[in-house]
Amino acid sequence: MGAEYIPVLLLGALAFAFAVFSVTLATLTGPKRYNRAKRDAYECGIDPTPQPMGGGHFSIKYYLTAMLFIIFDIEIVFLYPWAVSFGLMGVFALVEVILFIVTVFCVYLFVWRRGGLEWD
Amino acid sequence: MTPTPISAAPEAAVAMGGPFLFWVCAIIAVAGAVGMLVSRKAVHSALFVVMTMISIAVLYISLNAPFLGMVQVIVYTGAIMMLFVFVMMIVGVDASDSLVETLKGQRWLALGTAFAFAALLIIAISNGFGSIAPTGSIEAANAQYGGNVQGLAHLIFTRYVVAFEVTSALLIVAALGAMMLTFRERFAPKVSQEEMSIERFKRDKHPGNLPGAGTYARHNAVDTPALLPDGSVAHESVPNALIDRGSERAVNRADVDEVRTISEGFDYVDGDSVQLDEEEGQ
Repeated sequence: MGAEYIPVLLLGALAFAFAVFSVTLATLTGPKRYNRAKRDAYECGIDPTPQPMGGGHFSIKYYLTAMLFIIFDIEIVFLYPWAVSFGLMGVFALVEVILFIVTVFCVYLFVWRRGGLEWD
Repeated sequence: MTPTPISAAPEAAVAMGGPFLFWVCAIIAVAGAVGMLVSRKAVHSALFVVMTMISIAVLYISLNAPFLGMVQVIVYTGAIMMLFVFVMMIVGVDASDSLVETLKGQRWLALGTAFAFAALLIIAISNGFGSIAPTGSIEAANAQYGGNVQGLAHLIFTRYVVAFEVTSALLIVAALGAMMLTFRERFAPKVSQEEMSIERFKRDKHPGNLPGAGTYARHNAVDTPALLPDGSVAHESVPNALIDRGSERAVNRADVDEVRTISEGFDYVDGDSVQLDEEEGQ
């Protein structure tokens, strides 16, 4: 064990080197003209449509999206070991997972019916 | 398998990459935690936490718990830290903290809790150096069902099945909380673009675009009204702000004639063109 992580390490090193290279190159070669427009949420184009109420840069609506992402991310984390050892476990685990998915699906239905997925 | 002492964790690291890996990751993790505390920018703090999380994940993997390590990366560095950065983005990076204590005695409570937690840690670690033997090693547990993930699945879906199902209830609570905090109920149905368009055609005299300003660009053309096909001047083509400021430019008929002559293919040879600057309809 351990040798199979060498590709992951290499990939990580490659990503790190690329990030350092890009940032350094951009700092060395890019123009540096700072003005008020650079501090905007988006440098060009119209302002984001759901305007934040308290005067921040972004609307709080983005938070709901992030939160829902985490909820379904955790659902996936539980599904992964079940999927890997599906042949080991039989019908009981299948029923459990279906119960779990149905319960979390209620979240999806609730958010959907309340209009939490709509964007305006 | 004979019970190994509690220091099985560093020994597993020895089996994989020596204490070298443990020390490197431990130092990076602690450095990240300290950096999180001392950095003055919130985004830098978040990135330091990411550093800590990733080195802890490497430690988990080196201790033969690859699933925990991967979940550490996916959930903590991927999802939770993304949520933190989202919050910073929404609140604004330059939002400053209030230095006034809102909870009474919070500082002393925090100090007491920190001491209690430190005592707990010290007792646990010193007990670990003592006599307590673990019930089994992680290698044996991993080998029992053919792998780390399979063993975990077996535990989740048999012994800890109630906790697993209760987790789904926890997820429901999280979604309800997020909806409660950030969602505003819509009481009127959402107006679609089609309905807005129909409404505009019913209401306005001018449903389409207003005519564009400046049909001939002799000046900064936005202040020059357009000419309609019949030759009349379209004053609504000039922005209201310019009209209010009184800087709408009059149409020069001579210029119009010149442009028309050129566009019809004739050479324009009138050097001293007559100034027919007329004020139209003002």
